[in-house]
Amino acid sequence: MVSCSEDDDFTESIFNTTKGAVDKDASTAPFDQWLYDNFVVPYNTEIQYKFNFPASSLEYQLTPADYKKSQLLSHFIKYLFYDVYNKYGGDDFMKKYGPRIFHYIGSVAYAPTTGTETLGYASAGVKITLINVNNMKFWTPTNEYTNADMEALNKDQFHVMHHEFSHILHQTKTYPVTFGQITPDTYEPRGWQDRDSILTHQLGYLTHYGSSAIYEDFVETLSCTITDTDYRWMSTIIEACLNGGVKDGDKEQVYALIDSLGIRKFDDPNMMWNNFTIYKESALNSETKKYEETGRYVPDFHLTEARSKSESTLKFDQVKKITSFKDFLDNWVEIDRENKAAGINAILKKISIAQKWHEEKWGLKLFELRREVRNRQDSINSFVRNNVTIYDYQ
Amino acid sequence: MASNQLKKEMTMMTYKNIFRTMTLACAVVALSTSCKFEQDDLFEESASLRLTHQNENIKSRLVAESDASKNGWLIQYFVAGTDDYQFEGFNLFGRFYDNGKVTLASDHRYLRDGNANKYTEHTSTYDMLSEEGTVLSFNTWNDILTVFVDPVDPTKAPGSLISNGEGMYGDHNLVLKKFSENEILFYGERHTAITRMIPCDRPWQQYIADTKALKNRISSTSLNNYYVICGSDTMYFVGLSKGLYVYSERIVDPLNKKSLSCVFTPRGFRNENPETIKGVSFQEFSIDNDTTALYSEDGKVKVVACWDNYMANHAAIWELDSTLFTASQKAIASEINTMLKSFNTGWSLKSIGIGKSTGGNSVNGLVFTCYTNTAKTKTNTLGIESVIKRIAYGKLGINTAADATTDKNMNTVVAKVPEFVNKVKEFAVTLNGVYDVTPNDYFLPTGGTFTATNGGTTFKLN
Repeated sequence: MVSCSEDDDFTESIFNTTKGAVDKDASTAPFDQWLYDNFVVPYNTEIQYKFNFPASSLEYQLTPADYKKSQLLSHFIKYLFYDVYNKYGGDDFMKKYGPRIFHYIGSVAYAPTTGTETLGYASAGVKITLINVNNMKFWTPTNEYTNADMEALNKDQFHVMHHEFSHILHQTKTYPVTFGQITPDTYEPRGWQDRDSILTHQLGYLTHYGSSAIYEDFVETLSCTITDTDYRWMSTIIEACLNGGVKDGDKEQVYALIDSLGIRKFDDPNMMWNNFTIYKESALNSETKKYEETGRYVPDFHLTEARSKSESTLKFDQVKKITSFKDFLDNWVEIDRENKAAGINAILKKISIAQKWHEEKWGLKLFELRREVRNRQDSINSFVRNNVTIYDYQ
Repeated sequence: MASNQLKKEMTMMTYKNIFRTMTLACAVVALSTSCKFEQDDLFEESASLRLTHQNENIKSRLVAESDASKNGWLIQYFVAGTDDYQFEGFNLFGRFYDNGKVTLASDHRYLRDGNANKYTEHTSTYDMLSEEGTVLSFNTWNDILTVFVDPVDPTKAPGSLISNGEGMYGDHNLVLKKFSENEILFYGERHTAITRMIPCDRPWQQYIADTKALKNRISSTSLNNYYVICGSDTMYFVGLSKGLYVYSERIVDPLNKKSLSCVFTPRGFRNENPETIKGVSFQEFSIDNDTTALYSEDGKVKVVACWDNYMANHAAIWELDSTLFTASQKAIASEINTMLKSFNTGWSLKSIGIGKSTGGNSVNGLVFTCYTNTAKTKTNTLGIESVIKRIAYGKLGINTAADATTDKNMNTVVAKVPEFVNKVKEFAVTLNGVYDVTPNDYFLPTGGTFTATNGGTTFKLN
């Protein structure tokens, strides 16, 4: 038998073998070194802050992320995400379960056909893509983060991180089937974005997107619990109780939830939940040209949204001015004797399942994570001031 | 990604097996026939090495031309545009550094943060990637370039999403199409946005200033139509000043029209893609030394402003050079002056011109500008309609009819001095004829010489 082929002589490689893991000569070397020290070495995680076209989605028109904002976001991922899970899940938690890749996208990801905007996505339990990085407010010593800035960061960045990471967790250890049985008939994969907040909460979902599919509902339950502001939580609770009533025992559980969430200034009369007005909604009948009651109550803080989402012209008649959430829940919200109520009852059940799953499968305590994230967010300005170096290109 | 790599590896293994099988078969044939079999090497290196080396070559070239002693690169950049929006081409400038840093500059109108139309530089990063071919990737946000990729409404950016989330359909990942020492062509990896890079021949801001000067020299909102001439064939450009114009077979109700984008240069303009007229190709035009026309690369196609149409239809009043009047014209003008004084002792004839009169019921044609006070500080115009028509390129006909319309000011004078209108017509008739016209500026004339070729009297407009 004669030899039919010879092995190639590997005299030259297409890979640059003269440079280390971090190219010290690169214009981004200082930040690359920081990423190497803080993500690659401890977690084997790559932060792809430079646009990776083949790994991006062609569904959307996307742009690269801003270099300096990418640096800031990377620090936030470590401070508000990795360090939090490690603190409560153990030092190895993120080594084992953390995503292997983060990919940053600068622009929004807008889907022309549905008119929806994607804030991030997780792929195969391995990669988290964070979108709209360029919309982050950039921190400077003379332009620190305000509460409103934190709310925007929370919504656009931190919520997305926890949402996508929760996907990775349930892609690793699946969530209980019972979760999907709480509101099985009202998931709407295509038209979820057309629902307004009142309906979404009435149906027992924390967010519009959560009502698109069970797995999205599940991770929204986790991420909202960890990151949603007091304002968002209380407006959700109000609307989830407002229409359809609650079941026996729900009111007590609502107070327990508020306690677990650590709602601040709960009794402060200036807070929204102690100072809102309830309206009854009527829609114009295009044939009779008369307004007809829809049977729905709408709080003042979502009148505009209700109008914008409705195909009919709406009219709102004031029903009651609320000056205390306790008065609202104790005296205005009715007990549903027919046992049909979804709303807050469904939300409470979902949180309970998610909380239990977090603890049993991962050894994590959901509300503990929330408290930790919030405490860290409270000190975000001092964190950035004292711990973050933003590099220019060298 | 992982699955793609796996697929590639499996494919390579399959090829290798096939190769082994074929080699063995050939060996059997060789042994049995004693024929020598040799396979020619088409390339000395593997495809991956060739690609790697090509990337290194291109990067070296990009960096070499970016040396501080040189002017870096001129980047002629065209977005793909969308169904809703089409865009002009953009002149960008770039310096590429060996450490992956790139500085881009421009003064384009889509710069943000208050920088629109202002010279701006921005630094970001780039990389040479090996994908299906060489890809130049601008991989972090750059204010100069990536605004073209951002899916926001370009007219409202930043902040407002375009209704369909598309933006301008620009590209920031550019696939190599052609590489030579002095020209590198790319097309966008996603939208095929066309990018041409050539060494910049002067400092960037100088290039911008020179280009603006040339653009202003050859195009304006007043005269923005052009003949595209190749031998006896003529086509038209309409709207060149915007850098996005219509190429068609006629100006009015254009036939077979095409929307073309171009970038301006210090010598003319360059289209996004080559076009043809009767089979003759053209892409870039440069102004000739006597500044009468722009010529294509091989000189076979020329672009000439429709200055003759403009001269036939302009509204501004261009005065006839009275020093060139014939004796007869001088005599008529003198009589007109006398009649004006009989209308009003303070009035006198200032000039006779061609254009649009300024009073009520204004007309296009012959315009008599009069001083309306003895101090000669105030003027008014009296107009009589004349038909000024383009007959052929550079040839205009003038005709004032016997029953030509007059404007309100003229009528006021005629009401008091009835014979005035006949005297005006008498002068107008001296100009009736066909003329060869030479403009004083071929891209925006403000006058010119009318040489009588059939009737009429040679005259000059200032």
